[in-house]
Amino acid sequence: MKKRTLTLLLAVACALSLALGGCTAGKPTDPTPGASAPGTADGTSSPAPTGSQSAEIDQTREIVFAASRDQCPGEQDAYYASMSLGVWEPLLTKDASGKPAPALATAWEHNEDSTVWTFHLREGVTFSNGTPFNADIVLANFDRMKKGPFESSFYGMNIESIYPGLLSYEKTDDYTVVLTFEAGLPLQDYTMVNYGSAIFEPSCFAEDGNFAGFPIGTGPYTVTENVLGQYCVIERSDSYWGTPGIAKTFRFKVIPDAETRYTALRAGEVQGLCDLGAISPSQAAEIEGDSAYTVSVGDSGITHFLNVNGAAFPFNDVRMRQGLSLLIDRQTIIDSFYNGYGLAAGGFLSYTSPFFSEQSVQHDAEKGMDLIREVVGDQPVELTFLLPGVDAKRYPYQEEAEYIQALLENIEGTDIKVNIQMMDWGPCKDEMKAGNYNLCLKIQGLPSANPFSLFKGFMRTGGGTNVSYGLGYSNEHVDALIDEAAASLDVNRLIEIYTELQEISAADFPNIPVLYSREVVACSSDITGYQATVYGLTGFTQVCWAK
Amino acid sequence: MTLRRKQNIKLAVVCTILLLIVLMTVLAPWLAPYSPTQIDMGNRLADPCWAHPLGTDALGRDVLSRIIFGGRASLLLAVAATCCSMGVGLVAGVAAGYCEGAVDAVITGVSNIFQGLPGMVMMIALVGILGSNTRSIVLALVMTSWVGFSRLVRGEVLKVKNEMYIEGMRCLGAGHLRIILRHVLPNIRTNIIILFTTRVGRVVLSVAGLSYLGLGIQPPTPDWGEMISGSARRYFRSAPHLLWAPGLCIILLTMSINILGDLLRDRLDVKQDSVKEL
Amino acid sequence: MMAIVKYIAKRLLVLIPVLLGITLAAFLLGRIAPGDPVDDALFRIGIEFPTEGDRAEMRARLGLDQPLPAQYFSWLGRALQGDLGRSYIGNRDIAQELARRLPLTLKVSLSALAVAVLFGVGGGVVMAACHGTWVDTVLKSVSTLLLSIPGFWLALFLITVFAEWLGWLPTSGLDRGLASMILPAAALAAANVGSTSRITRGNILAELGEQYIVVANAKGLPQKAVMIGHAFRNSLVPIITLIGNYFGGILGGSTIIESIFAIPGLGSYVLSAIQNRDYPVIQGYVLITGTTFVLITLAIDLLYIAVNPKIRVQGGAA
Repeated sequence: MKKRTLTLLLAVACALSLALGGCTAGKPTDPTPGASAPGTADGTSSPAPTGSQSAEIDQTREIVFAASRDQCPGEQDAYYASMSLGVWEPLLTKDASGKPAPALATAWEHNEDSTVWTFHLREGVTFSNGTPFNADIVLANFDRMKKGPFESSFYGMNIESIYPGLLSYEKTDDYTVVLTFEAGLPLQDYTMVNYGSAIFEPSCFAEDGNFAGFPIGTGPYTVTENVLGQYCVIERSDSYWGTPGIAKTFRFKVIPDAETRYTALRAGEVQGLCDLGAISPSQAAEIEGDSAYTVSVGDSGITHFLNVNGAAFPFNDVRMRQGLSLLIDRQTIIDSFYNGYGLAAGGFLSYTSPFFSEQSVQHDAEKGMDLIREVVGDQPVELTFLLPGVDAKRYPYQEEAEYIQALLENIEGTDIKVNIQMMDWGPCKDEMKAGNYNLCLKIQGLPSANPFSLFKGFMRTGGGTNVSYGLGYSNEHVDALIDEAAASLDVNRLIEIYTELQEISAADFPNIPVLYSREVVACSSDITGYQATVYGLTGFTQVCWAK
Repeated sequence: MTLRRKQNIKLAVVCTILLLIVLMTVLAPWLAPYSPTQIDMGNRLADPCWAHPLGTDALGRDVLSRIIFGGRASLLLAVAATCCSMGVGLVAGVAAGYCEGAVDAVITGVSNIFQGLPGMVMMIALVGILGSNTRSIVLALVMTSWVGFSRLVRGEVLKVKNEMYIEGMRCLGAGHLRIILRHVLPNIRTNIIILFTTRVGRVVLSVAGLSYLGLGIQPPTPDWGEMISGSARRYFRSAPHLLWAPGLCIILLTMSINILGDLLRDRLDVKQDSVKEL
Repeated sequence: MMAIVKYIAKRLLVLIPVLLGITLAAFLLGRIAPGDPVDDALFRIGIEFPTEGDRAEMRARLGLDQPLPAQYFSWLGRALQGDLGRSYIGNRDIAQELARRLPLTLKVSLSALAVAVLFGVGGGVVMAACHGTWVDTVLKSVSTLLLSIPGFWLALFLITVFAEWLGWLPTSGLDRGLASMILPAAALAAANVGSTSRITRGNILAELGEQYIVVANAKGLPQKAVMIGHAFRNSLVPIITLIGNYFGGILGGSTIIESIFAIPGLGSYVLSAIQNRDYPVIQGYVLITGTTFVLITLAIDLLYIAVNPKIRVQGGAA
């Protein structure tokens, strides 16, 4: 995990420029999950490495990025723009260890049984149109959220899942908002991070809660042009409360085809590639040593799983799941197909989750083959290996699947045949749900910093994903733990439960974690300051022309 | 007749190429130096060398062996699907042309509908919705191409039927089936052969197009279409041979088929526009 | 004159069942799917782990709880009023979305058509004029080659050469005006150029064999120009048919090209709809392109009559 420490340091250096006097004082819930690296305590504000050399460089030139999807999906999207553009800001963001950190709210606390949460808002913040930010604004955003649910190509906005059992939201003064819930929610601040607490200037909403035009936020940039499916343009806002951006305008083009996108970078049409699957690992490998380009690797909440049909032979046998996990050489997969951009995954929860507990990764091909032989013997076994189309385009899934196929088919003394099938995600999910599959590679991200819904969905008997992915996983002890977590108000007990669940996941394998993804982005060396990072509010404020 | 002679030479060349391709795919197990699915992670993306004349792919498999095997799936699928389309088209066309009246009206109507549906999109939709297996690919290909055959056959049947001698034969008491088999089909044979050839060429390209969307022939079956459109695209700058070699094979195959179609047309003296290349 | 009116009326009458058939096919295409779009729709509004109750509610909201015939007729009724419903994904008005994207696809299709006509017909005329010379042979080989290259492969090749190596043209997008259109149009039209030129050549050569050319020659006009001119005019009818058919084909066939060149037109829209099982979008798309194709065919038929009065009533072709 050495790469990780490096990125954490990088992240600390550049991610927390937002903090500016922000602090986490009065933050009573401070779980200390095993993952938090030393020296990343939240609230420490380090001066951002702004381009001091940029004095003579003309930063009014437009910088062009390309992504596979719209960065501004527009008026019908719950957030209008991706958070990374820095157009809008949330009440809470997350720090380098994935824990809640102050953004538009500077501090927060809750009562004993965590049914009443109080948020103290940042003063002196204005929206890009000059409207001051205060408690009334926050309340108006809750009013709007109640008109939902709203769809989004990032994270759906549904007040019932982000603020479950919200009884009331009111202000006690101009900079204090109080939320009251039906039942205790000890990790509510984790759920509210980033997309969970986006704040807009209420006048940009239409009657039905969608946007009535460009969004107005408190962020360092504003949207000035948006042509759906083609591009959007953002411009530096001069009245930003924090460290303002350096470059004046950015254009984000939509280029869905990975090959075309990469060619656009090479042809100098765009200066950088951003967003999910910005650049494929093999392409990144090509330009990594080239001084004309900069490849940046950052943390990602995405985990690649090998989902298995635990309801049907042979994966209903835990030895088969363990055997396959031992058989696959995760490091070879990462080195060969992902160009080293990934971390071998032992447990269920991503290393970027604040509740991550590291599980050792075991690779022992001989032992794995023995286990598999014990299960299948010499009878002919046909396995169906599904590859969902969208992910197979973004990641080297085809190569990975063919590698795993070869491993399984070449176990001496067995007669295993693996059929690989690439499918669009729709039919793929239908097949999984119907149990017409044995293996399926699929990514899973972290929907929020609170991992409860993930554990419940995948590991609880009858859990949503457990059923819809046809995992067929059932473990009484796990069910009891999850039920206990659902009712628990004690953060420390929750941490214990989540750690135990991860230990179980690494031995009993509801599905097989393969690797924790790392975000790879690339840009031309004409620009500087562009980092792959999942933290904070910096967005593109550090990105500027280098010459 | 020098023109005739030139055409003969051309025909011989094209037929030899096609024959070689077919032979190569049939004899693949004996010709290929390695197994097309044998992976070797220690020798990934190797440049062409003595051991691997066309290098290795992202999983260390021998590209030459994959190319030798790679024509099988495409060719088989193309021929099978075109035969099915031809079968459906023949039945529908003969029925429509021979029976006329209500049967003709219904069949013509249905074929008008099918012709009005956007071909490539229908193919993608059918395969995408039904899942990408051989069955749904063939189904999609047949659904989007039977109309061409049916129209051609119907037109020819009508033409033949109106010629006097069939009327005469009917008078002599010949059965319908006998008339169709003995007199109608032989008359439309040349056009059918030409349409068949051009269709096979187009089907190979269509299946390659499906492969581009991940809906074509599924890995690890070696297939030219899959080889130029699948994961190899990610490596095409660092390992261009991954794309060029199978690409040239596809072009060679479809070009030979197209030239064969042209030559047959000239040879059999068919008027150009009677066989639309749709 | 009456005969023509009657013919047109008859053609229009035949059109009605065909259009109905297309609507039925479009509708069924969305319903033969074995799966269920409800979960996806729920996911989009933030319900990642839905209950049966959530599913039932969403199913009702999407109108999927009705029996099939009822769904068809209500869909058809609304479609006739220009309401194609809302997409499952993004909840956008489909008719509006199609209308927004249609101009982009039309732009590409018309550019491709222009390329096909210019190089296809032009190439065909040149080939016919140089019949038997090396120019003919070379052009004929090129046209066969164009017919034999997989479209997406050609696109990749064009992008690499003209955008990356030479830097003359943009890789993708629409923001550079005409320059942006050249590569997609060329990739889309390549196969059409191949076949159009071959057919044009064949038709002109066939026409050249006919009698009246001799007459034209007798008038003493410069020989070659007359020959080609006359023959070309008379071979226009099959060429128009061919190009008309191709235009319909391009409209529905630009799917892959649009996604390679990042053109957010109809093709890339329906492609993502297919991938996401967004039935209403697929239906709307098939309905629109199917209808357009049928109408273009009709227009060509009518053009037939205008160009070549000889055909008139009985010869009206398909």
